[in-house]
Amino acid sequence: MFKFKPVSWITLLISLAIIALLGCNAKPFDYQPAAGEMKEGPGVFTGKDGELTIYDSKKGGAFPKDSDATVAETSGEKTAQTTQAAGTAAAAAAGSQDNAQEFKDFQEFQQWQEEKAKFHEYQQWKKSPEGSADLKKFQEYQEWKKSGGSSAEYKEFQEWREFKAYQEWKKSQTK
Amino acid sequence: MMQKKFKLSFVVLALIAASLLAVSPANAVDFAISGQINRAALYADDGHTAKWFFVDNDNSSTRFRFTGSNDFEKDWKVGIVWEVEMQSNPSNNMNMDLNGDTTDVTFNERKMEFWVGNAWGKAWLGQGDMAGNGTSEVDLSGTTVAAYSSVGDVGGGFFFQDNGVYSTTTVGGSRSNFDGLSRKDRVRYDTPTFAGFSGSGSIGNSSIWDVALRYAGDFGWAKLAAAAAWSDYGTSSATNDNILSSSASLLFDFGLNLTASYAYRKQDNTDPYNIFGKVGYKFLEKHAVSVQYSRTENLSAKDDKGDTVGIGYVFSPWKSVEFYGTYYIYMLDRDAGSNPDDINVGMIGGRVKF
Repeated sequence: MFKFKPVSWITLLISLAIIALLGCNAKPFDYQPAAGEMKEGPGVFTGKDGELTIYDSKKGGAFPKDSDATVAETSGEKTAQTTQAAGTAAAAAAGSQDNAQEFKDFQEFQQWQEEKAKFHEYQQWKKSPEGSADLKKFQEYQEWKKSGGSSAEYKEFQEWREFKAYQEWKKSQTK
Repeated sequence: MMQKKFKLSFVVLALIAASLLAVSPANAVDFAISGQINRAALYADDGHTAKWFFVDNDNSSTRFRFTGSNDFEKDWKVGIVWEVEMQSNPSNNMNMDLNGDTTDVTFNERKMEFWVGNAWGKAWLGQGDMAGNGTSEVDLSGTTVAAYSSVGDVGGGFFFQDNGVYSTTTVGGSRSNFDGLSRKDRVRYDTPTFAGFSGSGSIGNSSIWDVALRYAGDFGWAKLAAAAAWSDYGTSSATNDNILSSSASLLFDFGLNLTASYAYRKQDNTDPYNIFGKVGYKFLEKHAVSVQYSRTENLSAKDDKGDTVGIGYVFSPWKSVEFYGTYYIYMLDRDAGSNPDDINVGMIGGRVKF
């Protein structure tokens, strides 16, 4: 019933298909073979990555290398350094990448809370009589700076700042 | 001729290794472990005997793997894959004579290889996929863990019988999707992807070799994936010469999907071939269902026809967990003698990635 002489007409079909597909201008996508292969995607214990990262020089992992901690130390505040180091150590001790990620999220949350509190403080200060007077002066200064950037008065002001710096330097030389 | 090809391949690999020594040390390194458990309950009825079995689903066996990669400057990358399967009662090895579990569970090698790649492609060395492996199995239905073109992976070990007299022909011995040369110890090269197209070629022991072409494109309203390969047995087989394998799968955005496969093996006196078709539907994000039909002709004997009808359903309540159900009817139309009874196999199980 099914008698095929495969090579010739299948080669022709494949060639025609290639030409047609090139003409379609489709976007390539990353096809991962599924049949017979291991399931793609997240794992029950390994989270969204679907694999337990034993070592990753960029992300860390169950056993992050020492240089990762150094990078963290230079980028954070002192309090953050302590918590970061403690957190990384805790995550490493737990041996779980998820824990490390969770801790990172928690740190971001803490930072957000801190900034939110500071912003609230600024809003309250703005509303207070002392704050509104200071704010008015600050706005006047901003306006003056914006409008006087090229004026003679502003240039003289800059000259005075330089002269002041020169005097301070001279004082330090005579000591 | 083949020896020259081997020599050339190793010279190329040596050059790649040498060039790696010349570039800077690693920029990024990662090493990870992953795995899955895939277990099922299987019921089989061959028309004379019916039994339950508790199996490891060979559609996607229980396994684990180590992967690692190392980024170097100038876009060089080096990686490793070590994948091992471990099956207790593989679903393709069950038969009605079995009492209790099959033999002791052992590790089976699947992949033990490393690769070196950059913008010009990727070279592989070790035990792994030949270029043509998977070219009969392109499938976007989302039901491959339940049913796909390799129908012998479930119930492949059952023998056909007629009036209680068992034949020597099994389900697996009467049908195949002729999926290239599987996994072998080889050297392989993959080209970069160009407009969705990529090519690959590999050479292994006993002068086996193959070339393959793959495509994966997204049209916006549908995705299309396709593959074709030419595989040569070299001196590894006394009866088989070569295989032409191909498949394609189209997945529409609204969930309907169509899959087809054709493969042919040049073999002494018989020249078996296989055709396969599947219609599926993905719905509500977590469900996929499909029906399929395949016919292998000339495999168990000249003019024998091994037909298979299958239904597969997969439910994914969570991304890491799938539950599935499969039903296959295996038929054998003999050219000589009477036709044996059909074999019905049902399987329900789950696959959990860890």
